Amino acid sequence: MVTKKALLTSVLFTASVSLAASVNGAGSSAIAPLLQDWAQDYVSYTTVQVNYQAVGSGAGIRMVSQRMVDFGASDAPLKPSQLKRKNLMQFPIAAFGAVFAYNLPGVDHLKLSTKAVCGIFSGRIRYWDNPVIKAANPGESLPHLPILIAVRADKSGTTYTVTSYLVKACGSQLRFHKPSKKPFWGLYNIVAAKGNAGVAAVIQKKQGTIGYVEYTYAVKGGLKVVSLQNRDGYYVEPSLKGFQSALKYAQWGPENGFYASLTYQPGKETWPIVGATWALLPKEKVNRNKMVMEFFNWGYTFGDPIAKKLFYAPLPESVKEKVRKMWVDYKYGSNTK
Amino acid sequence: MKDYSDLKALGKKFRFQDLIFEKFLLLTALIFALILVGIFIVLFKESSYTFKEIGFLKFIFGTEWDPDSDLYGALPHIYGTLITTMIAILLATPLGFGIAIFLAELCPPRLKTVVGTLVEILAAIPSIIYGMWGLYVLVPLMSKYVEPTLHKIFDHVPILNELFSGQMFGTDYFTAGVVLALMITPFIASVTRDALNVVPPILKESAYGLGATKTEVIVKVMFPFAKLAIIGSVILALGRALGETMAVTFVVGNFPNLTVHLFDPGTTITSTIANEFGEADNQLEYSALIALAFLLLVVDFLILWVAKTVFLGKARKYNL
Repeated sequence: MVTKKALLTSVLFTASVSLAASVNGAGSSAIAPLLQDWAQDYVSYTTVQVNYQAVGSGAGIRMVSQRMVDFGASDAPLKPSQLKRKNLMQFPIAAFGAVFAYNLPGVDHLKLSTKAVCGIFSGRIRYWDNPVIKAANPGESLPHLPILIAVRADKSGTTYTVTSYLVKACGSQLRFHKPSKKPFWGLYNIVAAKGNAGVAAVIQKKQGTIGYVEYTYAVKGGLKVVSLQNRDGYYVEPSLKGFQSALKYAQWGPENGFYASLTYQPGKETWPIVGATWALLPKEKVNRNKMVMEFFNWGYTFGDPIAKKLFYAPLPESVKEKVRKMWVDYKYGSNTK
Repeated sequence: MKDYSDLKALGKKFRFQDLIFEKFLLLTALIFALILVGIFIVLFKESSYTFKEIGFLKFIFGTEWDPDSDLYGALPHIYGTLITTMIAILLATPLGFGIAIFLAELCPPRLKTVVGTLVEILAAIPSIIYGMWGLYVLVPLMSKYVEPTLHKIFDHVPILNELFSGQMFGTDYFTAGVVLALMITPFIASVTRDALNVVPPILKESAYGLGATKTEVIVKVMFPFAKLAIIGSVILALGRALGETMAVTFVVGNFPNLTVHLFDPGTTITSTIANEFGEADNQLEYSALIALAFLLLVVDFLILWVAKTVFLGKARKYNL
């Protein structure tokens, strides 16, 4: 009788555990499609339900800081000092690239040197037939059209990535001096639209426009994209390979909480405008974190094809190994506080 | 005797029922009053940090908004909200009246239901759809044709040449006003039509009998009779225009900009909140955005109060 009862409770208990097996995350909307697709496959293999709400990076950081969710996701990494204060652990999920798309009739393969990009974004180059732009495009006939710059109206991780690149590449020529989710551009030939889709729409509709969007939107919208000069001086077209190349050169690891800027990295193939989304976990919740880490480990191991299909750049193996080592140290180590 | 006592008991029962019903209705009304007060208190409490850090007047009359440098000035946002609403009301009121008069007086009966229903459906379209349509269809039309044409026409008219100029990208105060106008016109049209429909036929017939023309009947008999409801419809539309978010965000350009040029990009209180709230990562920015919401509520109240006391008050005094 007693054993029967014990058996029953144990059955009930396991049942309730497997029913309650869900992980909640919130934050960046840029990474949402990837996490949601990962979660869909993950639940069919493990019955663990991962719910992710795309509330924006800022709100994600706020929610994980207040311990309202099991993990947050942010497009800008937190500094090691902030991580320590909020007692959070941080690691990258996947990377993405931003590209410049443009609308110029008759010009199909536009190349922009770093000097040209800086000229455009500092307001010194106002027309498409400027000699600086012409110099890199000997084969193209550039029209005498005013340059109109399309930017994001909403605060966004994409803007943060692009301004990070601009600040590194152009330095003091710009009106703003640090990366920002919504900088003070200080330009007059500029138009702001909401979301990647909004910027893409402006570029499509208006001749002479150049703007930045996430790579996915340029591909799906069939926009013409600019080949950029990278830090080593080579002209590169945007590609997942070029995004991954940037991750290899970044100086990041468990010691600095994977805090790194991925833009304007060296390397022959490297695309200069690369960003990533970072996961944030509350350090003190050891048991919940194990579940969250298992999910991300699954994503690292089996999720690359999904990521590529959605135009995210999977992390290079060397970076994944560093993160996995940090997880193992966390599970068996003493640095759980 | 027996019947009489029964009646007494019955009366008691009914009085009790009435009491319960009354209290229930009071409760429903109170709940909404309390929610309003609650919203007010929460917004004020959350925004008090901004008022303390920046200063109440400095926040309201500040002209620069740059969270990176901790600059928070609400004036361009308030200005944008007011100017887009004003354009919308100026365009929508005559348009709405026109539709209403046509539907109530001139429209052949077979068309009446079709056009009437279409106008009502227009009022039910979600604002995001107006926003997308505005961005993909209206904005290119505006920047290519409408704005250059208006600019050319009014080039030599003193004040209007300043108003009808700017960068003409298509995403600007004027386009936002036009989209808002399209959104609120159905409100004005359908309420005004209903008001004109209930004008007693005997009034109209008397006027016709005295030899009045159709125009005179509409302007001098029907409109004065329906004045209260018509002004009410405009006030309702005003309230919707002030608070509209999604559609405006798509087409207003989203730069804090204090300018008289209607063809320049600008911003409104609601679109700034929609753009920045999700990513507001420092305490002051979060609080400043809530302070903007608080200001919108105050502006809303002030305008509706002025509209109600001035216009409705006047209408009551002279006509009814």
